Amino acid sequence: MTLNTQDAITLSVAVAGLILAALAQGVLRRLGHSGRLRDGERYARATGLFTLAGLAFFAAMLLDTFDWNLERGFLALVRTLVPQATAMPFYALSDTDHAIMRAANSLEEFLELTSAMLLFFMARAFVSREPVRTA
Amino acid sequence: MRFPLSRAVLALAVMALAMVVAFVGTAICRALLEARGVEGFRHYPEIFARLFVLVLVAAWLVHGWKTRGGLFATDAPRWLRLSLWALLAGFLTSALDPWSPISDEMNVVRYSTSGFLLLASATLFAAQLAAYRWSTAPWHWVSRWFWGSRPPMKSCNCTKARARPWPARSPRS
Repeated sequence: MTLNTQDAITLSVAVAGLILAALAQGVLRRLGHSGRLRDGERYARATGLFTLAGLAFFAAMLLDTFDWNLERGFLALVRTLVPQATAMPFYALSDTDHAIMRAANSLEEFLELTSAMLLFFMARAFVSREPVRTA
Repeated sequence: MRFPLSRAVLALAVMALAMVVAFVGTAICRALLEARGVEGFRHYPEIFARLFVLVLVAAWLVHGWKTRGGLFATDAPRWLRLSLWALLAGFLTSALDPWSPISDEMNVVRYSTSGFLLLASATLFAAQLAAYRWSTAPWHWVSRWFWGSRPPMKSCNCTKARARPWPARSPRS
């Protein structure tokens, strides 16, 4: 497995973003439990939606960059699990046409669409008018 | 942080099932076409990717119907349900569109993606117009973007001061 500079940069940035988004989700959850977000619930909701959108987009970028390795891993798994004789049509299908790579690319597009929808939800949560609690 | 591990495992299982169904369906297509004497058909991976996506969308629909959530939630606000139906329309149009390939980055799903991003930016821009006083001078927008808030502007089309909706005033102060 070879990893060029661009793939390595994408991997490190996406993994750092995944870790940061998960940490932000945990911090938001703790703050919500402690009751310190009482006056700013829509900010917490908007931040949570933004981190979810980030998670979806980082996953999309990982799929987009490492579709080749995903296909190789999947084929290795198939070759390990399925005996040689029964797996021949699957070899012929997936080795020549890169079906797993194309599935990963289409899934990446749908993850990008989901991420865009979550960004729209973030905007809606940010501008929503919630009643101020007085209790 | 409590992560819903069972849901993640379930999602991975659904993805594996979708891959298996797409593989079997593509193999059946290949066998049928080769039995009819069609050789050199180039679109098997396209069939695979579309079957994969359709199985995932069908699983999402079944889950939403069973739990009465997501698309079929009756207590959700209208904009949320409309957005989810737009998401489904983006999935289905890209999976059923016979002209643009789903797996070659020339896909109609990108129109839906840019539409949602445009909606998000329009929402935030409208909120900015509602929260601040409006000005035609572009350097005001640049300075607001760069420094955040600035002293009140001299040229402004607002004649009376409005209550500032952001940041929200705390009830305790």
